[in-house]
Amino acid sequence: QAQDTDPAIYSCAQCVGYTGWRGILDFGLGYVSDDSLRFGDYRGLEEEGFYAALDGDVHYRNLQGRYFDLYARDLGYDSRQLTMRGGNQDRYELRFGWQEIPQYRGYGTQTPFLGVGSDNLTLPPDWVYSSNTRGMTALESSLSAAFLKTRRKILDAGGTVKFARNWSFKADFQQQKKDGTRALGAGLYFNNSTILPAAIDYTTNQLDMSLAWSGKRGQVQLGFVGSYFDNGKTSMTWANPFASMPEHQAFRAAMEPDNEFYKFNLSGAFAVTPRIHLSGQAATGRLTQDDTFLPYTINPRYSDLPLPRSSLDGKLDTSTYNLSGKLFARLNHGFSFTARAKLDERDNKTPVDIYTQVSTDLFPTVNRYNRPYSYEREQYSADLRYRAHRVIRLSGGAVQNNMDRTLQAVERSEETTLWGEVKVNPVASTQVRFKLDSSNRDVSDYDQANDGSLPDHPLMRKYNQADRDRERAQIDLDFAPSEDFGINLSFFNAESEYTKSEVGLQESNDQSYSVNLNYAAGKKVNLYAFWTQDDIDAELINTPSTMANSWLGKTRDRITTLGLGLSARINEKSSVGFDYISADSKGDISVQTSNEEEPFSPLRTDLTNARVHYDHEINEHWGYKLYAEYEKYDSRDWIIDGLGVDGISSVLTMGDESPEYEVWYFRVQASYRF
Amino acid sequence: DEPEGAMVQAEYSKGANQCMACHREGREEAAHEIFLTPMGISDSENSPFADGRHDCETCHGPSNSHRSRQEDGSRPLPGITFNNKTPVAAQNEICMACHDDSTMMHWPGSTHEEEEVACASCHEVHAPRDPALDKLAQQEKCFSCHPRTRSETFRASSHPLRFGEMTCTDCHNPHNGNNDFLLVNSNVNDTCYSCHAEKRGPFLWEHAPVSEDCTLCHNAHGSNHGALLNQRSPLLCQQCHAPGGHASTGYTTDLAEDSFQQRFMLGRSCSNCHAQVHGSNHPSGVSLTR
Repeated sequence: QAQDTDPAIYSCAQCVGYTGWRGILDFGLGYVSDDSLRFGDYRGLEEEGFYAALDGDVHYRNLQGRYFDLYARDLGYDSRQLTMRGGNQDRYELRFGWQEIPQYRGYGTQTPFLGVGSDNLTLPPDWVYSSNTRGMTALESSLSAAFLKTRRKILDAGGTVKFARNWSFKADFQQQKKDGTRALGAGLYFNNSTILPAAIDYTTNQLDMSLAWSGKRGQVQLGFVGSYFDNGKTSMTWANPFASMPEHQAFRAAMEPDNEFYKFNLSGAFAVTPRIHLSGQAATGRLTQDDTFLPYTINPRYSDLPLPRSSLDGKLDTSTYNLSGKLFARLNHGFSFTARAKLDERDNKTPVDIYTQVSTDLFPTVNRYNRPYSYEREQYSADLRYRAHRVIRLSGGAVQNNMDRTLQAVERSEETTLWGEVKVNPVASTQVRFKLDSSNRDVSDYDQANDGSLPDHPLMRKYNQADRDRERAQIDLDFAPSEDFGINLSFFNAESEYTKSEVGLQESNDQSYSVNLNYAAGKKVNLYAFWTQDDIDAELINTPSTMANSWLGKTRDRITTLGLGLSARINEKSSVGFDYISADSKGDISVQTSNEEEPFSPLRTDLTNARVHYDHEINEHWGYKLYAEYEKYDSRDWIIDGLGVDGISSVLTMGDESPEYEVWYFRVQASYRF
Repeated sequence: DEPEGAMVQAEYSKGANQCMACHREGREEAAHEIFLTPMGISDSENSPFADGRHDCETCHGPSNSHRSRQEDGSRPLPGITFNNKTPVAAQNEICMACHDDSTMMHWPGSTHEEEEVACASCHEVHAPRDPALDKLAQQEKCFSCHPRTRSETFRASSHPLRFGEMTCTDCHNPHNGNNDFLLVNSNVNDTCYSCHAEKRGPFLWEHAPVSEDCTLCHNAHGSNHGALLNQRSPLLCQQCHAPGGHASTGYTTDLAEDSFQQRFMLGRSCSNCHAQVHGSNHPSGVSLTR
């Protein structure tokens, strides 16, 4: 450093010493023009009307390094966020955060069930039972709106202490609570099924601690993560709308059980020489689950069937070992070599027992063993990068991914990937990058697991365990003719072929084109535009039996996204901004049996969003902000559209509809700056 | 450590006084806001403005010549400029000279380091709030090199990035070199479980691909189909299940009109009945219906 420098020479009279409090508080009103659950999704603005619009940030600094930062956003909405941190930048920091995330999971949903929000759903006393939905004559009069809304609340609290120059200790606690209602399919009664408004009441507490040491040539960190999940609704009971006989009148499902996970990890890095770096991490953890089992059935006739154990005593060990090394050698030109090895293991030690299956809660049928799956992943890679000249860099490498599974059709799969890349910078303002990779996955013999279920077609190959050839190409062009202006063109293509799968996924292709433009005239004007088109195709073959003809399913999703906008400083007191987004998608599905079939109506979503804002400072302290947003959304989905709650005779649904809306949102805020 | 190269031979100016005379508030190239950041606290032993350091030139290198003008009237550049006038490795070496704590231990050899991404491509150290630390602004930094991901966030089903309720670094650590896809945890599932702990199990009846890799069925960045699914069911499920009967039937437009077959393809399709697709803890739940 500058030990030979006289600090007095470097004392800075012109440096600005910001001390004390400063910030900006924005307060006012927002107005939403129409009711729309989809517009309210994640925003918390689902109902027409006025909302308190409260934002702001507050800061404190002093010259000794004490600080405090507070950021508040959307405090008047259900999507509010608040984060705070403060401390002394050389010694310690305390942190606090609060966030709420509202989400809607269905639109136009209704239900005849009573007790929504509880774990016991009943039917109205005058319910008319029927074996098909059209015979449920009291259905229409029993329906009421059932919003499928969840709300996630996240509390963060933590701190960091730096001590003894090279040491620091960090501890963070997070509690996530998620409650609300979701749709849950419940198909227990012969051919009939019911879609239920099922209550959610999740709490996850997580503690994350680490002790770190940093030296001139290396760092070490020892950490602990403990995560504890608690479900306030461990089961769901519902009245059967299809039949009222005593043995059929109610069913029960198990909800997600409580679980506990903890992990210890050790990370380290060491610079052997300035040119050789080694880093690695090792982690070992355990996940357990031991919720008391429900009886086999709610049907009193079989509810005392003996269980092999009262709870699962589920236990699995996880471990990760990760080592990477980088050798950087400067020969005539830049040359670097990186090698990595990684082992990731999931060792499921859950005890295996025999469980009787009570079909439709009426018939004890087959006995089945549970199947605790384990796997082990190995990954080895080596990359070589060589800057052959100031304008060109050549790179290449190989990756070997091996996976061992238990209790599945394929015990071991091995995938080798080779890749190469050329990066050319003919001039400082231009870069072209061209990358190709090719991978080949070979699997061991495919032996269908004999787990007591109906066996798959003997030629079926599950795509995650199938032989596969994959080719990928990527081209990027970055061109910045001036400091103000930049263009980026990107192309990506991936083709996967499942070479030995006569039944199952045959091929999938993924293609994307992008154009990005940016123009920044100093700090006063910024313009941007982007356009992306994605095409995702897949083909699969399946067959109803070994004797029947196979059928071919084809899917194609095309998504086009266009965005443009500007932000500009009009003068010293005013700024304006505009953003526009259009995102359209079309999903084509066709299924061809022995006869040519008509394709299904395309799935469509069309999103248009435009936002404009104007900020003005009236004087040193006061100003105002104006904001307007328009969003239009249109969607078509033949799988749910027009069905209502009784459109499928054997399934009582909640009548989801594809969302469609056109909403304006206005916001006016006064700003106080201090 | 002092940066290498020609600038070691160059001459330092006489501190930030010289720099701030031109880069003061109100000028086009104003840099005064650095004093609103932790970097600008001169009493902090880690600040570039701490006693014994070279103020602005701690990062920008010896730049005394930048005060003079060349024959064409322009000024010579400072020793280090955080743009394409200075090689990325030289820029990053300046940053890493101080930011060498445990959070950066896996940076050497990481994807972004090897792709020659400059620290200044994402971080703005003169800004009172670095955009890389702001939920909405951070995304724009990431999307400038990952344009497809921006498009994915506008799909019909996506994580709430565009609303600022999540951001890229909730799942990815751009400084990490050891985890796949620069994830914050060692594998995909552990990353997803940090918010979706209810799917962690272990369940009595597991669905094998669920415990293996969430991305076998979901696209975390966004999808045309509900719940971030890669495809629409029943076709998604039929890529792996062919036991005969209803699970293997080719559901055509004709069958969509058939009152018996509708339940297998309309509404929630396979999930009309097999809703516990992430696993069931019910003793009679082997078929994931309860």
